[in-house]
Amino acid sequence: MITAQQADQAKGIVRETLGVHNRQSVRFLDVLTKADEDFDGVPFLDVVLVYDGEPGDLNIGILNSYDNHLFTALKDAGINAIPSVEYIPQSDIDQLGAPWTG
Amino acid sequence: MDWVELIRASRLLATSSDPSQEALRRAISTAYYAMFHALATSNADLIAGAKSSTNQNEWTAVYRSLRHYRAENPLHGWNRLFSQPVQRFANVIGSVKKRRENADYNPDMVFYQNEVIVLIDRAEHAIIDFNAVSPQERSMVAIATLAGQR
Repeated sequence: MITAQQADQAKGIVRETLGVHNRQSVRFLDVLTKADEDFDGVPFLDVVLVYDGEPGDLNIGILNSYDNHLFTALKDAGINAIPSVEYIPQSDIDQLGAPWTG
Repeated sequence: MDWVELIRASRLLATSSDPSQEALRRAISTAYYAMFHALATSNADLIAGAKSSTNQNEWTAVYRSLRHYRAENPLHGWNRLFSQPVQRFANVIGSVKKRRENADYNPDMVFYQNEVIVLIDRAEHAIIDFNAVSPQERSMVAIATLAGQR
């Protein structure tokens, strides 16, 4: 598993790459990151992107391509983890609370 | 199993009015299995040939030999060998698999309807892109995901 420090560093990488590789018609309001691993012990970086809008506003093709860009950017920074990105509208966070803090 | 029907079932669970956490958990899990079975089908079609009465046993043997930990990890390891759609498939199935583990086993996790709808859309999009990749490249994917040990 990557360290909490690397997960925090990754938050900056997510913010830097979002504007270049994940241009959407919605605004991204917040980024949450957390170090994690799957049941096979593969390191993951959990990422939550909070956005202002509805699911139908998101371009799915760009979202999927963004995973590739983020995976490469993390690797280039020495963070060997697979990103698992969730997209949550701000309205859901207001209603149900954040999924986790990190 | 037909990945199209699995995606349809997943969407039915997620898009009902005010779905329960259990329905959202099953929707995530089903979306993962749509991706897993799409890959298993591709592997079997390319290694054993399209399923028919003459190759059913061989086709099913290849289909069933895919393991969850092999479905995406080898594709990350050889990322320069594979095109963008295959890399996207690897990243998305990895991400969905991770969510599926939480959906199936972590009682403390909260799932959001809108988030799950996006996850299903992403899984469907990744499968369609993957299935459009050349048979030659998907044969390499089959070898990468079926060969070797953990």
